[in-house]
Amino acid sequence: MPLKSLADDLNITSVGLGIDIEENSRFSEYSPGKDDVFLNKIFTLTELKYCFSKTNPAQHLCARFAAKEAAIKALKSLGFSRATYKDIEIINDQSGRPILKIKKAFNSTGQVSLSHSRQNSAAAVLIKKNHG
Amino acid sequence: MDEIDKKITQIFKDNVSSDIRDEELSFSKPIKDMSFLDSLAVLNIVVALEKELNVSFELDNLDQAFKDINSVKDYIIKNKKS
Repeated sequence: MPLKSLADDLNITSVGLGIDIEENSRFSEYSPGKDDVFLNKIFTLTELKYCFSKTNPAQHLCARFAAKEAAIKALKSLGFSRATYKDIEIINDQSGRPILKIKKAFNSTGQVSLSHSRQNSAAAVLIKKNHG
Repeated sequence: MDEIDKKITQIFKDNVSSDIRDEELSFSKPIKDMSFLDSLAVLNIVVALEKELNVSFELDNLDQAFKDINSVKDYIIKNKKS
């Protein structure tokens, strides 16, 4: 099947993909109070509460930052050039699975996958622009 | 180099992980070509510029202000709070 037809069949123009990897250590110095200005530019209160409830907040902040970077890349590929960190929120369901929430104005839904090693956190995001 | 140039250069230097030479921080070099500056470093620079130079940046339009260091300087001059 020619690629163009496959792309049309999958309606691939309305799907955006993003990936990102970050070093955990770069988030190890941040703490609530001292770094509120920086942290509040990126993370929602729910995300900050979650990350700082963990024994290793840096790893969780890092993974969420990577997810937001990946989501912004995906949104930009769909034409949303002004998407920024707080337009995206990563929450966890009862089983701990990360859920991607995108601001309603973008009329999009997506999925996120997070991964950690001792040094790095990575995220992959797939976003679908809804029609209508 | 005037006072604001010196402050901007110092803030950029303070927020990159490696030691960089002044010539690597050319004011006209596109920021996307500065491989030592990633998005996290840019955010730290934004916070430092806001604190030190009494200015606010809009994160949803950061690409415009951060085309190169000259555009950062222009943005600060235009938007500095009195």
